[in-house]
Amino acid sequence: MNRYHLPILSIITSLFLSASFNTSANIRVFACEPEWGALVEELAGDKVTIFVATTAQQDPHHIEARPSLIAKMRRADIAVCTGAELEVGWLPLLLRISGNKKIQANQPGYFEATSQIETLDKPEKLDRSLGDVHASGNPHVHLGPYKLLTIAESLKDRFVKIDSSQTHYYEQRFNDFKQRWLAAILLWEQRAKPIKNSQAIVYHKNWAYLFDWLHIRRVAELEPIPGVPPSAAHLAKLKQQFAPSPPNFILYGPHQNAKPANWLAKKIDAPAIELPFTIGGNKNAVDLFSLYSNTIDKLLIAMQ
Amino acid sequence: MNLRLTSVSASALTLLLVYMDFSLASSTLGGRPVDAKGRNGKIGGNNFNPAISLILDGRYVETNIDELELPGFQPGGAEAASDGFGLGETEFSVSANIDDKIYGWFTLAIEEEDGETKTEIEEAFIESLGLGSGITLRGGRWFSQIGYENQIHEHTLDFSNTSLVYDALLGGKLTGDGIQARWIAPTDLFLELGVELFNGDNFPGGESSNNIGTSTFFIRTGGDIGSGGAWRFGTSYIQNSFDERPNAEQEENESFSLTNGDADIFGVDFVFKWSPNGNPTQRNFKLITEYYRRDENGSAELTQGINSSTANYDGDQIGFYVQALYQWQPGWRTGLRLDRLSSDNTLSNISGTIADADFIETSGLVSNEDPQRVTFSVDYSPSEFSRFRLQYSQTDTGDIDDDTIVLQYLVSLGAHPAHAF
Repeated sequence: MNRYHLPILSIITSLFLSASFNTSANIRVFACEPEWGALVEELAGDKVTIFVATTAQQDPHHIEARPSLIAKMRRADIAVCTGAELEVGWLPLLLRISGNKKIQANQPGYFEATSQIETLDKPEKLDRSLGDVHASGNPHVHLGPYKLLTIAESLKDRFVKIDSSQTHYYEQRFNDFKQRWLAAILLWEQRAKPIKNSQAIVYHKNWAYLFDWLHIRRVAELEPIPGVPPSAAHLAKLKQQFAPSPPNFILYGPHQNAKPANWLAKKIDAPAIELPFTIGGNKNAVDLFSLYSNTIDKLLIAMQ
Repeated sequence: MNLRLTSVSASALTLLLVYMDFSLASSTLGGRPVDAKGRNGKIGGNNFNPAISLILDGRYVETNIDELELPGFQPGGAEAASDGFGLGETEFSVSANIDDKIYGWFTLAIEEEDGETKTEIEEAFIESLGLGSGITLRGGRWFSQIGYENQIHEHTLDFSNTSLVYDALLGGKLTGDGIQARWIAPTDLFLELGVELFNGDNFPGGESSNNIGTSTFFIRTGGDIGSGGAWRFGTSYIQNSFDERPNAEQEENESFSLTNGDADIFGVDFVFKWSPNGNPTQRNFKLITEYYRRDENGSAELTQGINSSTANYDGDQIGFYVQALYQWQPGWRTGLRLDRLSSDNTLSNISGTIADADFIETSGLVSNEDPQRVTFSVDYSPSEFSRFRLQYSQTDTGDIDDDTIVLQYLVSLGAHPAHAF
């Protein structure tokens, strides 16, 4: 040790000791995607302070563990995320460097939506030549309403676990949500009858759970393989394949490039439609209910 | 790379691979993260535990630079890319949560040097997981977390080589064996403090009887600007003391060393990244700049055959780089980097059997030249696992005036863990 080391150590020590810890009563929630922020809002409304890490305009596959996210994760009481490797590029790193015990993967403060349900599109083969495939299946689970309800129930249980003094409140909120949600599902299923058995080309497999629910057939993707941007060659192939019998829609999300969808729409005479995909995806999709309504409305209008 | 602690043969590598195979087979015992309901977590980069990754780097280089000699700076081990076809650094990494409290990381770099294959343990450390209160502890060997570029692995650099200021002041990278503590403040604005204690055997440290030859301290802060911008600003302080720090490259029958010296380095680093609405997939931009100042002293010793001389050395050097990268369409980026160094060193009280002028000349430490370099690059990434790069740089050190062209591929096999901001 020389003369420099001791002062440095003492500065650090004093900073550790003088750190002021905020003792706000609210549970701090780090929601990885807007849909989970909205679900927490439904289930725990006034007991939580929600920070949503990404927006509908961002691709949750491609987020960086930037300083603002580290600061938020450092103070989170629970992290509510998708899992299934969707956030593999940033979430494991955030957890690891946050120095926060509560939200580590083995703690009740770490909640993964895809772990609560059976996922779709599980690949039989894991090979990167097939693109950015998710070994645990399609992670975009929030547009399957029954799956979402299962996730909501697990999440409610989790809130009960980390904040057991408010058990009654969480149970009540969940039951209320469940009733409204089941009623809404009935209504949506009625309204969506005209789009049953319709066909769609999608930018990426973002709507697999919606399609599974409403019986919409995915006939192709604009991405040649998952995670790789649409190429001219691939688009030309789609044009050739679908010009004789165009699908009902070409769908893309707010974080995806509209150009390839619009180009193909002109060539094969099918409407290119931007769906909100998640909360904030357009100005009408402000919560889970309006997200579903707006998505179905847009498909219905396009069918006419 | 200035770390050459292991220079090993294929047999050690084979042993290692056999060991890795074993770890894979037994990975179910190690266990994937399990959530509170007892279901398997799916967050991991791989269905296997640990995550295993291999980086392949191949190059074609057109250059006349044999050795990266920077007038006014003692050679610290940074190397120039060799002319013609060749492999860059092949990097083998393994990382995993070891249990619920410890994370482990290992990186082996395999490189060809003078026709010999050398392996080097670049990083091998354990780190606390979720210790609480924002505190993280680390022990082992790692790339110091000072500054910005220092902790970045070669394959993640935005150019095919490190910046000149890192080459000159840190021998390419500050690395060592030791311990580290970091703390993140419980504030909305990101604020991180870190302290590291290293053995200090590596440049700009050196051989020392002191067990802690190098210590660092860094503090950084950062946040978002609007919907698409993010920034980070850091300051770093590195203190080194050494009994002897020889030149990394020595001529035959000649040896030059600094002895009983101290080297203090102070630096600032700034990063700004922007993309429309924070969605970097279509277009994105990043600006990175770092500035360092090194203040060092010691006694300089030169031996040439039977002759030798010593002098008092007092060095004051600065260096900085500014680089900008822009992705104008998916997969395609272009980059520009400006590097500049400057030194103001003095050698006084020269005494011995070597003429003063020869001593000063041979030391290479007294120079009026300000080495600089301009680098331009274009790279194409067909996917996030591969990149092809064409880089042109113009280097002017006073002694060397050279144009270098590098054509490079970089690919990632397996499950490579996420990179830091």
